Amino acid sequence: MLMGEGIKLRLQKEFNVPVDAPCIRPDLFKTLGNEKIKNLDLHVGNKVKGLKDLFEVEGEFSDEITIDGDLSNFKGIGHKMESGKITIRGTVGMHTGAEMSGGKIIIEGNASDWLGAELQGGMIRVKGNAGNLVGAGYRGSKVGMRGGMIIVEGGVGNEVGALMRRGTIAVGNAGDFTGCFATGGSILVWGDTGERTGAFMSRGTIVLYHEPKLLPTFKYGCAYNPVFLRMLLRLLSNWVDVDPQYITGNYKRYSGDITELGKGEILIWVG
Amino acid sequence: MEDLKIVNGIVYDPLNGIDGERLDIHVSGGKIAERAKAQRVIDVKGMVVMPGGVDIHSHIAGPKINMGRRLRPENHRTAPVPKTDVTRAGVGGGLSSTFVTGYRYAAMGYTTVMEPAVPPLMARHAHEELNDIPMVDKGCYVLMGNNEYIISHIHELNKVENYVKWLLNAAKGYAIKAVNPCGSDNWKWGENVHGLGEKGVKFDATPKEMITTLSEVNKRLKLPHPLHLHTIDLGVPGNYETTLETLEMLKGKRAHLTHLQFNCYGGSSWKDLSSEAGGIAEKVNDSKITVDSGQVIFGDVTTMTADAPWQYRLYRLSGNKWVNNDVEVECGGGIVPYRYRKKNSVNATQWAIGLELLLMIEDPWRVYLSTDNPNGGSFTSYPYIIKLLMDKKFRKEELSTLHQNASSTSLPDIDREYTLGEIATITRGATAKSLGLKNKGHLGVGADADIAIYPLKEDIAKMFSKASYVIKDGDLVVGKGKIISEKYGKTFMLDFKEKVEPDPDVREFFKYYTVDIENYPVEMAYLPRYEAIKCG
Repeated sequence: MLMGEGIKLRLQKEFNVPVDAPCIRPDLFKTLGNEKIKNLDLHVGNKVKGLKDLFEVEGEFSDEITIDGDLSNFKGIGHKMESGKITIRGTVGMHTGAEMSGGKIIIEGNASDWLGAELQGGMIRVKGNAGNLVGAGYRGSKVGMRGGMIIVEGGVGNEVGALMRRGTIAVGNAGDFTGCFATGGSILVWGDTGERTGAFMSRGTIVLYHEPKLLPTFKYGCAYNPVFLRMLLRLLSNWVDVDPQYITGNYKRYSGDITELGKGEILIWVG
Repeated sequence: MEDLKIVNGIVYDPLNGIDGERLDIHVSGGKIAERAKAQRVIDVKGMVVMPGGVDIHSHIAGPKINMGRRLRPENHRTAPVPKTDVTRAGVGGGLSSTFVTGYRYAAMGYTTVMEPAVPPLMARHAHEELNDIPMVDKGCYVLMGNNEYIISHIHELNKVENYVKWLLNAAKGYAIKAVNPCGSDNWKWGENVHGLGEKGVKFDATPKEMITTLSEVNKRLKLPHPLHLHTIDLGVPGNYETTLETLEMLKGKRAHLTHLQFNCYGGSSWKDLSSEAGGIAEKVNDSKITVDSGQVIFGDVTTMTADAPWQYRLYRLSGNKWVNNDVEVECGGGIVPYRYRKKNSVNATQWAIGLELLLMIEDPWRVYLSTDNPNGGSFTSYPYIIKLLMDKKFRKEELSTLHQNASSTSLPDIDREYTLGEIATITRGATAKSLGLKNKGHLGVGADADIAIYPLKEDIAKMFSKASYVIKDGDLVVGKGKIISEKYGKTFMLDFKEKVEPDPDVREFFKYYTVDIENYPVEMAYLPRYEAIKCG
């Protein structure tokens, strides 16, 4: 068994119809030879096609996958994966890394909505922007993200980390309703946030580095420098540039949402 | 439609007194025939032949189930059902889509299903949805126990009779259904009713009057199915006394008490809830009442009922998301997702009560299998319940995995095991008889050719979950548990023999409606395939 060589997928042409591709996952590819990988089924619009009809496939028996091409119509890559690594050299579509419990996904372009939705473990890094509902819980679920880490260097849309219970999300800019309904976990926003940050949150931490427009249901407590945050920021500095002042500076602590349990917190950096 | 001959099967047809005899069945023109020139012979050696199953109480269409689907997207996401060459795509879960509902019933050998709670105002939608359920014949019961016209004319029997007749005809319903009579209407003022003699906050009628009136009207109209009653105080600890009182009140009358399991609770709170199934079963044994069990199945369910105050109570208990609804002057309703847990003392006791009822009511012609789908569990659990009824050892094994309170019921001491003939009775023969469907539930000459053929297997649950063959109206629709051709059944409605006109004051009453009386009745266009059953 050849490990470490990696499997390369190169998209042959662009697709206008959605492609359902949950079969692209390293823990599955690890067990398959080249021929079997080529014959995996994908739903292209309302038709079932083999992987070979869409991609040039190189390599076999490896849990490292590299994909080249514009995958904006590809949904569910790395869905439920448990180990291994996917590197996407380009843009990727919805539900990437949804419900994954281990391994790593690196996206060099942009990602779409529902990135890492209901994530349970592992890591997702996006060098570009991501869409709405990053790490959120699917409609009807009681709990969203349960573990793992999502780092987006660019901006993200609305409802990031909705229903989050555990894990870490760090993003550039965020839209409205960041961390809404959260029952735990940490969300860090280096840039601007939209409105109603932390609405309905009962527990959990949201860390902001630009002064936000807070809901009136968050109550000011004190200004301090939390120990856990220093540790978390040092950990994050492995992957993103963290300003040393963020580690040493003080944070205003607001607790809320007091219409709910009120045990959540929003920390705002004051320098 | 080709003629069929089914040979070498072991036939169970309780309505015709056939209990495990080797007989050949002839099918001609969609009906069971004396003798047919069979173009096709199906050899079912070593298999069990039964009439198609008849489910008397399963929420499969209408506003509630649809609202439940909207409330629970997570229920669909985890259970997609892809299309095949003959079937359409849909979702499973506890709230399966219309097509999947039909396919799943057919795969289990069921060919007739009754939707038990349709508000007349929403009947048009219910019929649209029923039309989209393939494979089975269906019908719906019309909710009347909280109708404000009936409440305000409770002492004028003739008026109520005419109104009920008109309403059944307008909604194209098949039977009268009463859910928490007067209680759901009292909920409009934030109150429920407790006890049969309690009057409403703003109206002068009691549940007792409502039940007796509707049962009397049912008798006068000679409806094929008796009053289908979901009694008051459902799900409340200590409610067995009310149930006994209700049974006493209905002594000598025709009535069907539905999902009775929820009405057999002793004790004074959730902590000391106990089973009173023994006393209730004894009372049922002494009466003419028919009942269905409302068995609880462990796992995730979506409860939905027109008993709005109870659903509010369940929401307070569970803390889950909920819907509570008010259907103008007719009824209300609610939906709450719920999880029955094996290690929960109340849930374990509920599970035991359902089985106690089925095992302790002696006459299988008067107690029927149901889960009150999707309230107690999905209809797909019927094979599991059948196994529990037929296999004492399996019952003991299951009981040992539950909370100890389930063992303090009388279930561990019951030795009765159902025979295949009795299973055929509680799942088809008796239910068809109770519904007054003369062409269903048996394999006599002239009956609709709805036939379910099961492989004889050691594991009863496996045997009943996938029928080897199912024949619907003379067509082979299921083979080896898979749908091999899609077929749409008919809807049952009532034939009153004469034109039904509402009283003038019904027209007056419609000023309280958002709908004009002319637009209220469901047009026949909504029943493209129907069979009208004659009253009387």
